[in-house]
Amino acid sequence: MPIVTNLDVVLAKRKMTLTELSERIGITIANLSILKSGKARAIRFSTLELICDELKCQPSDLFEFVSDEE
Amino acid sequence: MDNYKILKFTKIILNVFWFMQIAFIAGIIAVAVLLLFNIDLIDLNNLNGFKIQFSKIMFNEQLSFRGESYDFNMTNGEGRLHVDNLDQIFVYLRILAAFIHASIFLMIIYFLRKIFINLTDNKYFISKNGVYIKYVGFSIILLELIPDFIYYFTDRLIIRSIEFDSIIIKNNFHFNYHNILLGLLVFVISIVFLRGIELKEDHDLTI
Repeated sequence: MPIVTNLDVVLAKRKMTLTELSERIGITIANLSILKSGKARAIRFSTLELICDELKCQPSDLFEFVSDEE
Repeated sequence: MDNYKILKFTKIILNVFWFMQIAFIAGIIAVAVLLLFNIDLIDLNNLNGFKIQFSKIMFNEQLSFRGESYDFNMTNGEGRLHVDNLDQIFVYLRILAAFIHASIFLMIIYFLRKIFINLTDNKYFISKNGVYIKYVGFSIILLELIPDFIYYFTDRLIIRSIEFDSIIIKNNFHFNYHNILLGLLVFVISIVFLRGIELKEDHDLTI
């Protein structure tokens, strides 16, 4: 998939674990794992808002477009 | 009776059908093999004839009614044709049609069994079920078309090889279009089911 999630990078910069984030924003760890592993097909604006608010980042920090040719 | 018990019960019935159908196909194969080795095993003269449809049968005799004689004939009927010493090839063609018919039926039972196994395991909305339903739809259409196609050609061969002066035999390709529609309906349901599964996956993978 050309959209790559950089959630693990942002989490590492904030020295936060996925479990911690899950507890703080109230989204199950299973769902966050789907997002982190790149298996997610869509993300709600409300979820994005919660993650960005908690990690103090922009949506562009979390996602990146990588062309298939690269 | 709750749904689970109904599913279990249907699964048992399907299993019975499955083994009966396998036995039937094994029987057909056994007869075909025996016929290959001994052509006289089945005497066509002892068979109950071939089912045919006729447009018209003209009789040489006259019908007597209230003291007067009338010419008469029969139209648009169905019956069994008995011909002595008919070519054995027709038996093989009938066996082939029966074999194909039974095999497609077995295929339908196979897919239904797979679906019921998934349902009893609480696997309702999985793409495999949709694919199996689609195959059942295709099989229903095949079940209606292929054996009838062979019967049509067999009848045609029989009719061509025998000359009748007083009987006009019909040889129409008469398939039951209700079953074709049923097959198409099952096919459409499978497409909707598969789309439903896609939407469910989208929903599950939306964070």
